[in-house]
Amino acid sequence: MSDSVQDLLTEAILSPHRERDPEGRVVPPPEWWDLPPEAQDQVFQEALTARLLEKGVDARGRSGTVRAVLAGLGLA
Amino acid sequence: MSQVDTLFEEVCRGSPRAFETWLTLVEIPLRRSLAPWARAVDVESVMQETLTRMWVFARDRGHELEGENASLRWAIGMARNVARNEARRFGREEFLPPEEMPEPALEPGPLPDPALRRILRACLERLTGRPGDALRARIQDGFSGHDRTLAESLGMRLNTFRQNIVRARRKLAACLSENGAPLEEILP
Repeated sequence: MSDSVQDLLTEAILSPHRERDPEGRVVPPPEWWDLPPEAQDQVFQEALTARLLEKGVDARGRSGTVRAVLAGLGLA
Repeated sequence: MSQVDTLFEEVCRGSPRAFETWLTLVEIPLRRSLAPWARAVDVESVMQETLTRMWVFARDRGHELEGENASLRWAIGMARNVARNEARRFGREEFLPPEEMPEPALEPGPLPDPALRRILRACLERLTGRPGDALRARIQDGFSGHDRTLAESLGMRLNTFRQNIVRARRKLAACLSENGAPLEEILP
């Protein structure tokens, strides 16, 4: 897998947006399945960084994850 | 009693504002606790599922929790159960970590300090062109919709949108480093 393909897959996974299945469960994005397991450790670190950046620029310290959860519960 | 405990008491009484602040404090230690599961599950999905369930749990049985940072401990246990079940559902058991895992660090994450926040915002505003547009759109609205929708709103194709975010993240990291706030020092 080339670096550019892996970058695109990683960036798709870094989005905090997640779909829900018919039973209401949060599901992984399709790109998650295409990334080799050994690359998932790097994605984990990059997701941590992405969420910290989001927290840092939000006036109330909310990451994309927090905002997605609040919106999903109708509390945003 | 910690700030997390005080906030969770208010969450149990149904305060959405307390829940929001509680989320900002527990998110990072909870996410870090899932590092051993990164190959087995989509950690973002597990995070959102767990934090959503914690709102329901707080209203139902949250008042039963006892001890320092009990709600964070409970959330970590719940996240591990969600991760284990998800790995089994998706046939990824081979990547599961051992059943007995060491207790993760339970220090709630602080909110970003004002000086760091200023540097982050300045570097983000300095990003020019399409990469800057793409990353700002993702940070502002990425939680609420698919990248395809964000890309269309900016007149970009999906892959171009994501390539621009990759470029923007690299420029942002360089800007932070030049301003004395390298990413490796920001990460708690």
